[in-house]
Formats: sequence, C-alpha cells, structure tokens
Amino acid sequence: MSAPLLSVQDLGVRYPVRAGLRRAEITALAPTTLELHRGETLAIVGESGSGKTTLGRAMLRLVEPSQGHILFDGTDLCALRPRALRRLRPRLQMVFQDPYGSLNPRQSIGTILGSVLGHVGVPRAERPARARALMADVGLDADALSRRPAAFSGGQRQRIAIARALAAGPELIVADEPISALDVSVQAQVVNLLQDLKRARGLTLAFISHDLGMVAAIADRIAVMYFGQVVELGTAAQVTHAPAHPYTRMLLASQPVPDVARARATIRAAAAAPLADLPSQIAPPAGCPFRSRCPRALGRCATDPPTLGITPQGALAACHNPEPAQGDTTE
Amino acid sequence: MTQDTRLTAPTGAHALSTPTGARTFNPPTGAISRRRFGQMLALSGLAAAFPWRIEAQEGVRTMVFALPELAGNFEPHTWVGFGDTVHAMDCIGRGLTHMDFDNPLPQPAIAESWDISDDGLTYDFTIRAGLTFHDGTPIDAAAVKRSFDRMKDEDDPTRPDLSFALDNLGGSNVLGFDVVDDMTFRINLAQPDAAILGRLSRPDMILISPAALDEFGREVGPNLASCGPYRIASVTPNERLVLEAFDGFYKGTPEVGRLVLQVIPEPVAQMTSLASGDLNITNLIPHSNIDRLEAMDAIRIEQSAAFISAMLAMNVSAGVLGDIRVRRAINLGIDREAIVREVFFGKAEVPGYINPAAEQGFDPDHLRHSVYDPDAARALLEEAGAVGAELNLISENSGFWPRLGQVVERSLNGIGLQVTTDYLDGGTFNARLFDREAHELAFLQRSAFFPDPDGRWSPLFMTGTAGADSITAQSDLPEQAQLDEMIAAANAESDPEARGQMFVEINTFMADEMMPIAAVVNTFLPVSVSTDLEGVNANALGTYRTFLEGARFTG
Amino acid sequence: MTQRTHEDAPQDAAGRPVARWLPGAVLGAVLGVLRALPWAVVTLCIVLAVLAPALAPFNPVASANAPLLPLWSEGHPMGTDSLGRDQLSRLLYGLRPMIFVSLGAVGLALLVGGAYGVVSGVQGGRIDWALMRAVDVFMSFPIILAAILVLAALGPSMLNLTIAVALSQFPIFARLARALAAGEAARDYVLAARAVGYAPLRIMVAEVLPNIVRPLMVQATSVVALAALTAAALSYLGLGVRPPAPDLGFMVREGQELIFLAPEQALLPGLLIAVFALAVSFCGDQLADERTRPGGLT
Repeated sequence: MSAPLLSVQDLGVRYPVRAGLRRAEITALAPTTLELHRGETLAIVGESGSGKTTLGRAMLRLVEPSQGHILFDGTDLCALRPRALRRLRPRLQMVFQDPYGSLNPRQSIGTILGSVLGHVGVPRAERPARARALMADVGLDADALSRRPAAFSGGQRQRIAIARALAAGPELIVADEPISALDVSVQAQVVNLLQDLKRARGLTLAFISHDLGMVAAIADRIAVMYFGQVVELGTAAQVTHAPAHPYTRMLLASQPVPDVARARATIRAAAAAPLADLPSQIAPPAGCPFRSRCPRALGRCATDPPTLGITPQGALAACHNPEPAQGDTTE
Repeated sequence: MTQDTRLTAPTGAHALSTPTGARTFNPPTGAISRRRFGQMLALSGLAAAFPWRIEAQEGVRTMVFALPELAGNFEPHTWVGFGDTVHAMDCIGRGLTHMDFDNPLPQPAIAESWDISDDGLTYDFTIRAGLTFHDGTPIDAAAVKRSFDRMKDEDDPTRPDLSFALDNLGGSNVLGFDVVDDMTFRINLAQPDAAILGRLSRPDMILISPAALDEFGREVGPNLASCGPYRIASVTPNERLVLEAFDGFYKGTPEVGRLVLQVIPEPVAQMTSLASGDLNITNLIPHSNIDRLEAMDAIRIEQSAAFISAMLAMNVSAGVLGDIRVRRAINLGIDREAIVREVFFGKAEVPGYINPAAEQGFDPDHLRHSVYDPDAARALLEEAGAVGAELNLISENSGFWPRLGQVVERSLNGIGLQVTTDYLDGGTFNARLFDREAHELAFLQRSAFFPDPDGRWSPLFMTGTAGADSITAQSDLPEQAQLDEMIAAANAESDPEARGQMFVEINTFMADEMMPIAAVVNTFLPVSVSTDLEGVNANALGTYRTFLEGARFTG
Repeated sequence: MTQRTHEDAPQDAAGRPVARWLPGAVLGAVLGVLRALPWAVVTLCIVLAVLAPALAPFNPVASANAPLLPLWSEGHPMGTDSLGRDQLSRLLYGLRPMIFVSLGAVGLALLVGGAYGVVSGVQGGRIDWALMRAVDVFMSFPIILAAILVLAALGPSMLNLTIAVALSQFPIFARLARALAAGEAARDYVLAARAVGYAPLRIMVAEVLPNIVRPLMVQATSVVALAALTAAALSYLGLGVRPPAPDLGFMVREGQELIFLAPEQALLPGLLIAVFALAVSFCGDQLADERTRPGGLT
C-alpha cells in the first residue's frame, strides 16, 4: 500500500477548564492514531460529544492539538509555522455541519468563491468562469453568484459550501456531518454529490457522521469513536457486519433496522446493564470509559484502559472482551 | 476624637431626629410630655435640615462662621496653607504679639511689652501677669519657652514631623530662647531682624499649654489648649468646630459666648444660609455676588483693606524678558482698571508696587509703577525689537485666575506681544512656577498673614529664596546685590517709622531698576456679615485672618 | 434656537403612552415628528457649529461692549459675558469643541477600540486574556482622572481633549467589539476562512468586521451623548480648549460664579450642552430600537 495522504499519530486535544475553584482539563480527544489513504473515504462515527468533530478539526489543525503529529503528504502540520501552514491549507478543506453558519452572511456567493480562488492564485480574469464552473459542478445556477447566502435553502447552501471547499483545489475534504442539518429529502442528494465529486476529482474524504448505517453505504473504512477515543477501526464491512466492540454493536442496534426483535433484545441488554452516570470528561473514570454501559464488561475493565488491538475479525478494537468472530450474541 | 463627648447636647438632639419608632409609643420617662416631645422632635427635625441652627437655641448667643473644610487637627507647627486651621488657630490661640490689620505696627498681646537690645540681636518679652491657658495652666516665661523650643529642638518629643514653624519665625537666624526671669522670655538672633515682632503674630506662633503638651505630646493638634479668645468645646471633623468664650482672655471675655465654625463649602449654600440667618460671617463668597448680596436687608458687606496681591512674575532668564525694556513694557501694558472692573467686579484696587496701601512701605508715588500706558509700552517694545514676541503665561485654573489670565493676555496682546496662557491645576502650576526653565510669565499671589512690610520681601525677593532664584530669576541681575543689602538694612532698623521709609525706597528701587514683577491688582476676600453683628475685624478676614473676639450682637 | 429645542426634545419619551388613544393617523404624524426632532436638533447644532464663523456677529474672544449686558441687549441678543464679549458669538463658537470633540472622540474610540476588540475576540486564547485584562485595568481607573492625566501630560488642546475623551470611551468599544467578534469567530464561516488559509488580519477585516460593524455603529451613536458630556465636564474642569477660546463647559464654570448676578451666563451654555446631549442620546436610542425591533413592525 502506498504512503497515506494523511496520518495522525497520537493526536490529542485537551482544554483547560475551571471546575469551581480548581483548574482542570477536558480531554476532547484522547491520543489517536489513524491514517487516510489517497482516494479512500474514511467515515468517523460516534454520538454527539464523542470527539469526532474535534478529531476532524484537529486533523486539519483547525483546533490546536495538545500533543501528537499530523503528517500530510509527508509534512508535519504541527511543526509548520503559521505562514507555511496557511500556504498548505487549500489542500485540506472542510465542509461544515451548519450551512447557515458556515457562509459569511455579508458576502455574496461570488465574493466568497472569488476570494478563495484569488487566494489559491487564480488570476482575476479567470475567476468568474471558474466560479460559474464550480456552481455547475455542485448543481447550482450561475446567477446564484450575485446573491447572498440568505437567499438559499439549506441544501443549496451546503452545495455552495462544497463549491467553496472545491474552489481551493483540495486533495482532502473533511465533511463534518454535512447532511445532519438538512431535510431528509435532500440528504441523499448532498451525499451523492460528495461521492460523485470525490470520484471525479480523486479526492480523499473524511466523512463525519453519527449515522453508522448511512456511512456504511459510502465509506471504505469506518472509525467508531466513544468518549474521545477511537474504539473500533476497520473496513466498512468488518465494522458493520461483524462489529468487535460492544459499543459498535450498540450503535448498529440503534439504527432503524428491520429486525425489530433483534434490536429490542440488544437495547434490553444494554438497558439491563448497570447504567451508571455517563462518564465525566473532567474526572474521567479509570479503566474503560464504556464499561458502565457495557453488557460485556469484565473486572479488569474497571482498572485497565483498553487499547486498540487486532480483533478476531481482523479490524482494530479497544476492548478487553470483544465480540467473538461470526458470533451471534443475541439469543 | 475622644474629647468630643464633653458637650453632648447637639449630638443628643440629633439622635432624636432619627426615626426611632419605639420612642413615639413608649416615652422613656413621664418627665417628657407628649407635647414637649413633639417640640423636641420638631426642633431636631429642624436641626437635621440645618444642622448648625440648633446651636442658636440654647440661651447663649452663638455666632456662626463658614469654613471651607475641617480636618480637625489644629497643630500650629505643621500648618502650611489656608484651609480650615488658620481660622481655628486664630480663634483658639494667641501669641506674644498681635497685628490687628488696622494699626500697621505689632501690638502687645501675651507679651505686654518688649525691649530690643541696641545691636538688635536680643528681644526680651515681658509676659503679661496673671494669665492662664485654656486648661488653667499659668502662662510664664518657662511655659512660653516650651512652645518655642518645640519649634527649634529637634529632639523635643512633642515636636511634630515636618515642623515648619522655625522657618516662619526666622530660620537659622533664630539662635535660641532663654528664660531671663519668671516673666521675661528672650529670643536671641544672629542678625538683626525687625520683622520678627510681626512674625510673632502669625497663626503658627501661638502659645501652647505645657500641660496639654505633656498630656498629648505630638497629638496636641486635635486637643489644642492655647490662650486665645475662644476654647474648644467640641470638634466634629468635616462638620463643625464648636468654641466657647474663654474668660481668661487677656483682653477680657469675648461678648459672644459661643462661636461655631461650620463647614459650608459651597458659596451658594453660604449665601442662602446668610440670608436665612443660619450663618453670621463668611469671607468665602466670590466677588461677583457681593453687590447682589449687599442689597439684602439681613446682610452687610464690610469694607476691607486690600491686602491680597496678584502679581505677574517675569522670568528674567527667559528670552526677551531678559531685556528690562520688555519687562517695563509689560508692566505698562497691563490694563489694571479693566482687571478691577471685569475680574473683581470693582472689589479690588489698582496697586502701587509690592506693598499694598494698607501696609508700611507703600507710598502714593508707587502708583506710577502701575500706570496703564499702551502707547509707551509699544514704543518700548519697538525699541527693544520685541514687537510680536511670543510669550507664555502660566496661571492656575481655579478661582479668579482664569478670568485674570484672559484680561492680562488680552491687554498684553494689545501692545504687540503674542501671549498664550496655560491654565494649570495647582500641582502642575507650582511645579512649573518653581522651575525657571519651565515658565516665562507666571502669576503670583501674596496675602498678608501679618501686615509687616517685610512680609513680601525677605521671603520672596532676597537671593536664596525660591522667588528670586527660580520664579523671577532676578538673582541673576546685577542690581540684586543692592536689593539684598537694602532689605537687610531695613530689617536691622528697629525704629518703625524709619524702617517703613526704607521699604518705600525698596519698592521704588526694585520697580525702577529691576522690574522683575509687575504688580497687577490688590484685592480682599469680601466679608459678609449679618446686620445684627458688629465689631467684626473685616481687614483681617479680608486676608484670611480670623479675629472675632471683638464681635457682638446688636439685636 | 435654544428655545425651540428646549421645548421639544423631552417630549419624545413621554409622547408615546400619552398618545395611545389618539386616532392612528394623528398618532403616526405626531410620532413621526417626535422621531425626527432629535435628528433635526443634532443637525442644527452641527450646522451652527460649522457655520459659526459666518453666523457669529462678533469676534468671540474680543471685548465687544460693556461686561455683563443682560439678555436682549441691543446688538447682543444673548448679552455679554463678564469680560464684555458677545455671548451669542461665544455660544456658537462654544458648540464647536463639544461637537467636534464628541464626534471625533467617538470615531477614534470606535476605530481603536473596535480594532482592539476584534483582535482580541478573533485571536482568543492568551492574547484575548491579556488584552481584556488590560482593558479591565483601564476601566478600574476613574475616567476623569485618566483624562486629567492625559491632558496633564499632553497639555490642554482640542486634539488632546479628543484623545482623552476617546480614551474614556475606548473600553466600551473594545469590550463590545471583542464580544461581537468572539461570537462571530466561533461561527463556522470563520473556521472555513481559516481552513482556506486566510491570514488572521484578512479574517478580521474581511470576514468578521463587516458582521459586527452595525452594532458597533449603533453603540457609537448612543455614546456620543456621553462623550459630549465628558468633554463638557473636562472643559468645566479647565482641561478643555485654552481660554479665551470659547467652550461651553468652561463657560458654565465661568458663569457659575455669577449665578445670582447673571444666571444666564451659566444657564445658556448649560442648556445647550443638555439639549445636544439629549438629542444625540435620543438618536442613539432610535437606532438601538430599530436594531432590536423585529423586522416588519414600525
């Protein structure tokens, strides 16, 4: 396999907070290591608060990591001076969750695209044509260029946001829940648009979502996050058909699947587990953070934090007691 | 202030004015009838509205005098400015001599007479027999020496920090003090200094009871026991000082039994208090309101002699001001009539030179030094090649100074100068005034704490003083040596008439030969008095001194 | 001129509830007039100040007649002051320092405080912390005292007075701009701009600033009154323009001493200060109301 396009090593993000009179730190992202290969789609999945957005932003150094390295095409982003980093930035773009907030309300679409094009060195004369082409690429009329974001619907704005990301000429796009704020009817259009553009332009895509079922359809590999950690990482098939981590299984079960009985059983099993408080980010529990919700927790889960290890299915999971291969845990 | 509890009546009355509901329903004893209680309540309500009025309800006639502020410490030896203490010290204290501002010569006070040795270096004061301090301690030569030693003896345990008193008496020229016999006190000088008799009447030269010094030491300020016409009954800082007549005063017990120095800082409040009869005497009302006030029946404006002088100091080390023709031109270019009219609303007079008309040292001939002659001024400027010269004038930005600055600037620009004026707060003004590099023209105020002709000379215009060295820089002038000699000679002359004549010549000499100072105007603090009061020493009040022992009610 | 403004200005606030039961058309007309009034007063004051050299009948710093002529004297409708200068001319010229200083100071404070606040809000982190603590320190200093120090250091002049007043307004704008900018900086379009690789300065100026300029301008309008009063107060303390140049604040101070003899000496300049400050403050309120009022309503 060729060298990865982006590789994060031990990347962690902690925020100082004030808890009463004490100073404390929140671990938004535990030290994480993963790779993105050229042309692949990596989905990052987890509940809200699981750290997936932080990971997506930290990958691009849009939030400042507390530790670790980000190697992009062989360059360590964390070691770059601000000016050099800004020069590199057009190659790594992002599409945001909220299409209402991610476009400057005071600028016309033409201005937004034009300034990005200008920033990446497109001569002034060529910018209108390039902007019109970008609009066509994302399926919008060129006359939209003269209007401001307020004139567009959510789906249209997300297309504009994608066009802005494309305008920079990226190799990697991090799409942070790009469809969760949209009507169901347009979600599929935006996902398909991203897929088409990725294929047509040979992009690498990091697709952040809370919807494991949806990403299963588009992702090459899936990283499942819980409480700031990647708890399972494998191919889409491994993760969705033979999840090794109990949390992944729980996520799968929470998807609206046809097998009602099976889903009920899983949920019942989770509910029957001693439901302790959700772990506190300020005072994280010792051992595995999932153990309070885990139906398969063992004694050592309370003391030893599990690390990613090879599962019987061939993926990576951070669990002392992973689901058995091909096993069917629901009786 | 612990001693305040001696006279508690006003405080008690005030306590009733607070809304203590319980008392209304349960009178503490049957002795106070409901009706009587109502009267007291009404009275105390009145007292709350006019806190000083209650004093007038107690049988003894009370005279109320307005203070701008009251810190409550009357330590004479650290007193440096005007403020509240000068009034208090004048009412409470008295020194060996007294100057009443009517007679230009010092009169006997606690000393009934004095002998000056032929060489002018030894002053023997005979203490008046049978006098005591407010606390009953007898006044003899030893008691007097105690007060003076406290100025000079750095090891005196009762000496306050930053005592300035010795400098005000004569500084290092004062060699020491002796008790010649029981009732004879001696001051020894290094050089003759005839001004010392006047200086002994300063507010900081009052005698302090040795018993009080023993009891309070350096803290004698709030507990001052001296031998003036009134003694302290109670002190409430920032409110009032209540004084009662002292029956052992050397001129006899003052007629008005009680004197209240009441803090009323705002001129407008003073005027309304005067009009309503709650205030009897004040010298704080601005000149502009005097005519208006005088038209009111209940108020009389006393005629005061103009002891307060505003002068224009010309820094002879600064540029064109080094040329005496320019200084003379400035002196001729000041329209003093306009200043009297527009700045002081007529409550001022055109001066002669340094000494005002009410002091020795003045001669009508000096009026020629304050003539306004813009044509002659312009001619002098042209002769000196200084037409259009730019000059800077510094002025304080409070009181009448900004108005004075504008009129002086206007009249000097009228003779062909280009004067700009900086109006400065007191601190900045003084910093620039005392730095000869930091000013060209500057205003200077001089009032008379005692009307001795030397009061404006040796402290201000002799070599070595801040005035001559820094303000006018006249020490640089060749004529200064002769001026120094003339002042020294005058202060060695013990005959008052001859001495006065010498100061007349000193004025003439400095004006004609040096002109480092242009006399601008002489004025006074307007003294407003309620019409039922007479015998108020208006000349003294017009220059910050407060001698109220002669006052009496006519009604 | 002062008479007209005097009777009209205070009615604005009281007008609305009283007029509720009036017929709609009358109400609308009355409200319209009331709303236009402060703008008219402010404009009139500015025009009078600008045109003072053309309008003033006399040189404001030269004696024109006997001192303290009363109101409606021949040739001197506002009388003369204690130095015999025409009071009408002095009032007209006296408007200039107050108006120029208040507008200039607010403009300067808006510019400097706005830039400061945007840097603080967009950069965040330690820079934000340090910049805002500096503002806190600044605010803990009494405004008048700080202004006195500035004027003592620089010397009194119209420019320095402007700087001193601007300094007193600076924290208001720094804090507001910081809060607004921090709010904007947290929005995704700023993150997107960073992702594109724009430089911080470009993000501040091109992305954030246009989104916070309106509330800053509204704030600016609403503090002009405060600036005018601060300028008048400093002039009153003798820290304004150098006498004999006329200045309303200093005229109040000069006239105060004559309050029984010639009350108009203090009252006229005082009234002018009050009318201008009140009118400007009503204008600011109107702008602020429009900003918070939901779209379609009047």
